[in-house]
Amino acid sequence: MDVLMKLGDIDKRVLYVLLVLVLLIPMVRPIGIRISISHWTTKAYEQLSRLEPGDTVICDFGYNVDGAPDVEPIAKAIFRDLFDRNIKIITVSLNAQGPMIAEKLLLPYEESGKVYGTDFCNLGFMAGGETALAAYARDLKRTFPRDWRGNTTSTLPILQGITGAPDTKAWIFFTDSSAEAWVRQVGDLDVPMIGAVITVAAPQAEPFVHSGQLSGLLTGLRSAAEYEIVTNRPGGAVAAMDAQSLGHILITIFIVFGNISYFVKRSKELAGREGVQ
Amino acid sequence: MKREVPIIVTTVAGIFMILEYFHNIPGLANGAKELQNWAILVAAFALALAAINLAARHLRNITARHQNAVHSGLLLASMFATVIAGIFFGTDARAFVFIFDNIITPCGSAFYAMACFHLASAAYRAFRAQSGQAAALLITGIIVMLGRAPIGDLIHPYLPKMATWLMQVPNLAGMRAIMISSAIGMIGVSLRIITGIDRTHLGMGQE
Amino acid sequence: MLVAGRVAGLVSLLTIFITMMLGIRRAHTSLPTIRRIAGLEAIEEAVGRATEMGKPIFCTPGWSDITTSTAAPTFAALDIIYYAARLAARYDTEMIVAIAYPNVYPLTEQVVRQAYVMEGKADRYNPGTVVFTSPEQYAYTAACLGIIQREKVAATILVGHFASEAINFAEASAAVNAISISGTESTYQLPFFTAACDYTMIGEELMAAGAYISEDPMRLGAIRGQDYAKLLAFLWILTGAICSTAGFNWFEAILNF
Repeated sequence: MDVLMKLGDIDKRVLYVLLVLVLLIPMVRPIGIRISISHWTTKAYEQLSRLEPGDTVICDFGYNVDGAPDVEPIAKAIFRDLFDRNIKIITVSLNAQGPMIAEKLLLPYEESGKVYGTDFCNLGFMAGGETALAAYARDLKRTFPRDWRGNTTSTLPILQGITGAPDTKAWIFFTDSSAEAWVRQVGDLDVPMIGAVITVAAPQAEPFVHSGQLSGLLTGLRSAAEYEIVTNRPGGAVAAMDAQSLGHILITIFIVFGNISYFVKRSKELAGREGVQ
Repeated sequence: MKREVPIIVTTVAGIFMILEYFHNIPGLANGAKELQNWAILVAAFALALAAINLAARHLRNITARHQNAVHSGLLLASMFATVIAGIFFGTDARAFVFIFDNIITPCGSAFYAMACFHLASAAYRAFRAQSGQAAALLITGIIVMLGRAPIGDLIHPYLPKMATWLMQVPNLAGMRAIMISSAIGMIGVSLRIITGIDRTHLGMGQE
Repeated sequence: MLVAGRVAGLVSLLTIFITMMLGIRRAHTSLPTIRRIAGLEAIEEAVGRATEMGKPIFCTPGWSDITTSTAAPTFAALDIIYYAARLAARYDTEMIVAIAYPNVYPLTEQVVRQAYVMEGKADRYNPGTVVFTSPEQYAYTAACLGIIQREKVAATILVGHFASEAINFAEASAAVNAISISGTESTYQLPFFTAACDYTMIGEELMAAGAYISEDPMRLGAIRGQDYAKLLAFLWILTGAICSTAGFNWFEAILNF
């Protein structure tokens, strides 16, 4: 009985150590748990698979490095898919750290032969929050007269014939907060929009897919892993999924421990009270 | 006058921005852009004021030989190093990129990861089936947690379906209700501020 | 003249404004009763506990600015902080308010200072009460966690807009056995606050807090007006659901007008 009661009082540092172990071990020795593809990822993939080589998409970076572990794997998976299919990417940033994050992700493709200004460009960050977003969604060159690297945007070949979002084939945003800003400011423009949001923001973003304001939704590491699988390019996100599964199992076990202890304590208290009466 | 001026400024700016959002009146857009530029300027001054407060507080800690004086020293040193790197060498210079890639990024990721540990201990501490409602929260929480991880399929093929149903039906209904009522509440707060009904933020609290 | 696609939004805004004015007008004749908000009532208990223990209370108006769409919860949070500051001033309890965004800093300082003035204790106001931390999410988080841990606060009042730092704050409060009172409109952080804090104000409860605390007829009337707007929104949703189910597209066309 005492052992069962103590299950609810395990030092949280024990839980933390166990959590570190169950997250680290599968990273070193993957188990290979099968990953099923969710409806949302399929929908987003179907939308992006309609793009033809030479089409241009806008990728909006709206996350901080803090949210990167959950959102960045989606950006990596999408970049790999789009660049492999020779789709052109224009990056813009609602967030001050966005241009630096985008540069880091674009660098490997530049090194492997993609040409800046023709295959991709990084327009940088515009201060002003949603007002800035509304402005650059409607007129990229006017809002960003110069790109992040200091080039005059009107001279970039990738931007020839493109004024705003409706002149591109898709708008993909990556964010570690809510999707609402994009739905409000880009939603009424004639461009399919795909949201890549941090996992905890998923319930808030899902109504926008139902309403048709978003054409697809990718949420956190799980969606990144699913996207890697549907595009036949398994990478870091797939490897991290085993760790996530084991982590969830461990937390569930501890929740069960806590409840066993709670019910044992309660039954003992009740028995004690009946004894007194 | 001290009371009226901020309210008048708020009302005029608020109405102007609303008009600009809903109307295509020539000149309004430029005016709104100008107002936003002013807001950025005000924010810059506010940042200076806040930075002075931060520096003064930590300088006080150092001069008073407070037990956390070392932390304050570290904070000031890193703050000034980042400011100097950003202002004098630019945000694309090697010094600033080094700070961003090697300090800000890993620290940010580490803190994000810390939420996972706190989440685990919060679940262990607080998820008790003390009542019917708490039991419902506990059971749905476990179903969603397991059903949304790849292991859910292995435990039972129906588990991911249950998790998806829970997220897309009852959860979505609740989320929408909170979103709609919060949105109306937010519009209400904004209108109360624009009309001067709410003025606590101006230091004019009610008796 | 009107921007296409935003007419329905303008009509909604005007409707809410009209219902609010109606609510205010009605408040002159009959004052509305607002249901009890447990989280707000717990603030007095929290300050009382801090006073007995001789420990400070920790407050933060969240990780949000007043120039974004999260302005409204930030202003609502300032109302609650004003209330907590008055109680802290009344009972001579130390208070620490951590700020993330520079724009919010002077406003909060003004609000807290005013609370001390209103309690007739302007001389007791400590300029170190309101502390600026950083707009960087996790620098702000680290600063707040540091304050909670080092000062071993007796209560934490976490109100406003929050992101993933919410669970960190709630757990840090539990680690020092502090009463935690939270309130946010951020739907994706509400589950964490609800599970890990002692009291949570959900969505619109936070927005209504100022009126509830002030007992000002104008503000209470405005809340009643908002409820009329909610009722209209409910009827609107119901009509929309019926029309969509029946296959009438004109309803969607109105919304997109």
